[in-house]
Amino acid sequence: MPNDTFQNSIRKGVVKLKAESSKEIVSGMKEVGINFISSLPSNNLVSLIHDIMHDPDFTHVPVANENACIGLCYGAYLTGKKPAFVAQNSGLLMATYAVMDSVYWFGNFPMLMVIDHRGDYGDPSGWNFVGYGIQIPKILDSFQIPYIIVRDPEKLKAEVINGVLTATACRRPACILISGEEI
Amino acid sequence: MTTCHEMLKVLANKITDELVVTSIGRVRLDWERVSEPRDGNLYEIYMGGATSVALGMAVSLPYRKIIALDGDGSILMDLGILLAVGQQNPSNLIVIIGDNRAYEKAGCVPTFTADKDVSLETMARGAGIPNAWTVTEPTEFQKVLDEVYQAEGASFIDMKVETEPWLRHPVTLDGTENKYRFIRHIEESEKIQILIPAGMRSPAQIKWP
Repeated sequence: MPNDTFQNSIRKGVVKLKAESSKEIVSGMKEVGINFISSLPSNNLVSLIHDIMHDPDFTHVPVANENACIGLCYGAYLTGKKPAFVAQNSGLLMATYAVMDSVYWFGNFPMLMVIDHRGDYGDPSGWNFVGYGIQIPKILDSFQIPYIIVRDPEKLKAEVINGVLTATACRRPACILISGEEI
Repeated sequence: MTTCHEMLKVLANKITDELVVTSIGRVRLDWERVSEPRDGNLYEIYMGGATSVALGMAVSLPYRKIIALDGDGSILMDLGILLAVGQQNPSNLIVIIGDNRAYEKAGCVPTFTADKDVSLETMARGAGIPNAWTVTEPTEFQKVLDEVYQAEGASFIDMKVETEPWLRHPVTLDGTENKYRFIRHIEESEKIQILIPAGMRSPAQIKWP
């Protein structure tokens, strides 16, 4: 993204995840060796996507459909990278077909999912996301994907690290649901 | 025009240590028939996923040739992945479509490529993939394959093939078994560790060596 466009987004109030929160997530990812990220933007995660795409420590592959993120992360994992998937929770729903295949046919693989959790309890503009806020945790439960909902920005880095530790230990995806407009 | 099976014999005769990722359907069936048993094959990726898995591999191992064997029905399910291939443009990635213009296993219902005006090659080029081809015969496929092995940037080959009667073919490799054999093959050939022993407790322990 051109930097002036990003600055315009900040002025218009589109960017919700604070710059320091994004830095915490990136710092946590680096501490546990995340080096491959596939993403599709979410308006709450613009600052994170911006930081990722301009950081040479990450191989970043943007997509047009979150389903492809799972395949990309799977291919990257199989060839030695440590992958993360960044998207909105509606994107996680889009990706469930690929998640299903990786869970049941290939017996899973470790991946960190960093998800903008819209429509959660307390989301003031969650009127058009309410279904996602309620259903996404249930969908993660049904896939037996460990997850945590984070509402405190001070916990972001620690939970990113915990997510990768969990994914690695369980050899399956682990998900951090980032809730709240002002985190 | 010939069969997918005949076309893939050309590829089987060419490859050495390439990694091959197949979707479900005809290409999966025929690649297993013509390929020697090798742990560098990853079979039966979900529809719309083989090319994305192969792209993830191609950008992760940029010095190793990666081949996606996808179907027409499969690639049509996620045409957007062609844009990601075009943007990343890895020279080590070759996407081959076994294009029989039908959902063959599902009763040969036509796919959109059955329409003579539809061109996957044009779509691939429009998505930014510099080396895009359509082939209909094994000799032509051989020539194009030789060319794209040397080409700069990503390659895409729409391999037009005939529909055939569907063979009842037992799946010889379970997906989980396939995954672990593939990982061990990569660990051995690339001298890297992918599977981390259970019981790692700190961030430093789970970092790659």
